[in-house]
Amino acid sequence: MSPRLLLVEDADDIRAIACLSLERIGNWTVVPAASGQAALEALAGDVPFDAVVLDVMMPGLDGPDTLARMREGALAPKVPVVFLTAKVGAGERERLLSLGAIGVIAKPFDPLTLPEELRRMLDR
Amino acid sequence: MAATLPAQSDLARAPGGAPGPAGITRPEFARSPDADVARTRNAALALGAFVLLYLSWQLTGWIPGSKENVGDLLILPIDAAAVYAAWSASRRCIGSSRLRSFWRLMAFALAAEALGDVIQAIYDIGLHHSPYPSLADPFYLVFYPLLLLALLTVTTRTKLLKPTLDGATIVVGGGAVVWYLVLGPTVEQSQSPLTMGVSMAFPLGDLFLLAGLAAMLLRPGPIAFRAPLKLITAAVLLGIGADVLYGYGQLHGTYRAGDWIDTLYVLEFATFALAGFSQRSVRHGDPDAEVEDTAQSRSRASWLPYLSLAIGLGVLLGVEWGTRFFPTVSLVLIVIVLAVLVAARQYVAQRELVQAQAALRESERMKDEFLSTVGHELRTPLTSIRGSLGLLEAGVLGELPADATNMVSVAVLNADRLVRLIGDILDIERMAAGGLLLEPVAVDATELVSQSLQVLQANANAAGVTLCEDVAPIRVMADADRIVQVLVNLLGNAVKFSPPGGVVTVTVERKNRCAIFSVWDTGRGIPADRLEKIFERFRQVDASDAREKGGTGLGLPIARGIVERHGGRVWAESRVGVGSTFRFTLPVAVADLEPVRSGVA
Repeated sequence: MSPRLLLVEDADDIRAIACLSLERIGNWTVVPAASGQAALEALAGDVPFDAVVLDVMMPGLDGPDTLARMREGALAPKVPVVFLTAKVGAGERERLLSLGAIGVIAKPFDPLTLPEELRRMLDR
Repeated sequence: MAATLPAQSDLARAPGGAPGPAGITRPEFARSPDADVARTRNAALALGAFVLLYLSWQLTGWIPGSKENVGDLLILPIDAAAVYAAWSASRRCIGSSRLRSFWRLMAFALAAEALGDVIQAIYDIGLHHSPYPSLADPFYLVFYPLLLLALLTVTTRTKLLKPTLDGATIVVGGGAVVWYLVLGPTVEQSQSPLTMGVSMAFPLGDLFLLAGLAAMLLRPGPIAFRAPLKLITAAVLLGIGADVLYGYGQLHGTYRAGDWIDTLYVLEFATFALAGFSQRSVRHGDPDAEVEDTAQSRSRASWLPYLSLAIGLGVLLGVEWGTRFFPTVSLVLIVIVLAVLVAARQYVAQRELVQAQAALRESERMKDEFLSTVGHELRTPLTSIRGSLGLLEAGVLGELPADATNMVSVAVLNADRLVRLIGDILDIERMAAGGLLLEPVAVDATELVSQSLQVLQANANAAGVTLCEDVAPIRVMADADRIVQVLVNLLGNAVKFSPPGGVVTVTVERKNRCAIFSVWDTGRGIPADRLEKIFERFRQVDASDAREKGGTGLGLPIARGIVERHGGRVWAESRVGVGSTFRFTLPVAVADLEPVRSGVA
């Protein structure tokens, strides 16, 4: 059975592209979520996830807030999280890693190498 | 004409010797400046002679005649020199209305004082009778408002809070001394209202002069006024000291005309005269007529309130504690007021500093925030574009016709280029805004090089270029991510411009306190006249390079910006047809410097 991945991204087209890339090239089972709230609901479901890819800038519950909720509840205390961000200012990467993510993927990403990049982060 | 009289031009030639705009002698200066120079020199020499004459007489009394008569006469030429000096200074300052009116007011003030001295001499020598107050006193008194006006004219009105606090401190401190020594006792003595009024007018005038002096020193004035400023300050202080001692002497009946206290007045006027002589000429459009930097005036007078405080407290506490004029309570009150004023000033200065720093930080933070947001907004649509094209090109969504695949490849390449361009432009803008934060730590040069080579390995393989390294084990002070960015940039260029089968070599060697990183290629080389230009924005060696090689034209300026922020420098060396070498330096980590020092010793 292919590993399960929760993809949280508010932009519809980017979510669609990432889904295609991760499913067809990476052979993941991807569950898409369009907001932080939707992600928390998905995590509350019965089947556990192997990883979460989390957009940083989202309306309402943003990436870091979603991660904090995941960790503070018993929702998903150990699932590895990788951030996806278009904001790469000074020290942004370090800030995101310090929140407890295992990696940061910068937008725009190459859909051909995205699954491999994600796999490397999870294997580390 | 000046060239024919080199000896004379020494004295009053404009300090700095700056010629007028474009070196043109303006018509008003055709009116021989040399004659003016000669007159100034002669007047200064005469002044010196008279001051020496006066001092020698005060010390030995070698001139026969009554002390007051000789003193009255000897002071007159020194008065005259001071008036002449101020007047000629006003004529030299054609280019600055501020300086011209200052020196004119000075000339009037000094002339009033000189007239007072003439009348006093007539009383003493002609009439053998010296009343007090006399007709000389109105002239002596006019001196104060005129001088005060002059002191306030020469500087600019800027922020008022701090100068006001400083002025208040000085007036309270100086006022305490003046009250204790002169004013208080004057009030205590039963005298006619006129006598009392005149006696009090002098020390009060001095108090205002002290405040005016503080205002002059604290506020920015013309650059050309720097030399006279010090002498004017000294002269005013001498005059105030003389007045206090004179008032004290008058009060206790110890002062006699021609007394040694008069020496202070002589020195005061001689110093005013020197101030006039030291005023350099200011032509029209002279940059030195402009007002100086505020910081200069601020630092110049920051000690003034403290000096005044020290004098006030020193005098008050030094004399007997709790006399009839000065009960202990008022002493304590004055000390408290002075302490509060000084503390308030410190508080204001500190607050201004903190506000300025906070404003600077805030503006840098906002610039960085803005750039970061712009980057985000540009990258988000590009993510969709690049992502869709990437999936299409790879055939994930089904095979495309060959022509379509080609077209999509073109789109992918250019989307990638746009992404790089946005990143580079944001880096450049961050550096321009001062927002590129670096955190240099001690890192191994080997580590930096191997990371960079890893990034470029795939490109090199594709281009058929061999990557080599020869790196000395040196630790450098560097922000690793940023220096890897620089190396990747230089290596990327080297690979791009090397022919298939070419070799790109990275070397790191040590020279004194620097590590020199060099990237050698076997490319086509760069003409000598382009070696510097390629570090400017959007300046490639060949205009077609941007299109063919996919560079942004910003890599080298960014590399230069990063290296210079590390305290190093970047440059290129090249031989056309043989290859190019791009080098940059980084400071060697401090810990690594030690063995070398002991090795040399």
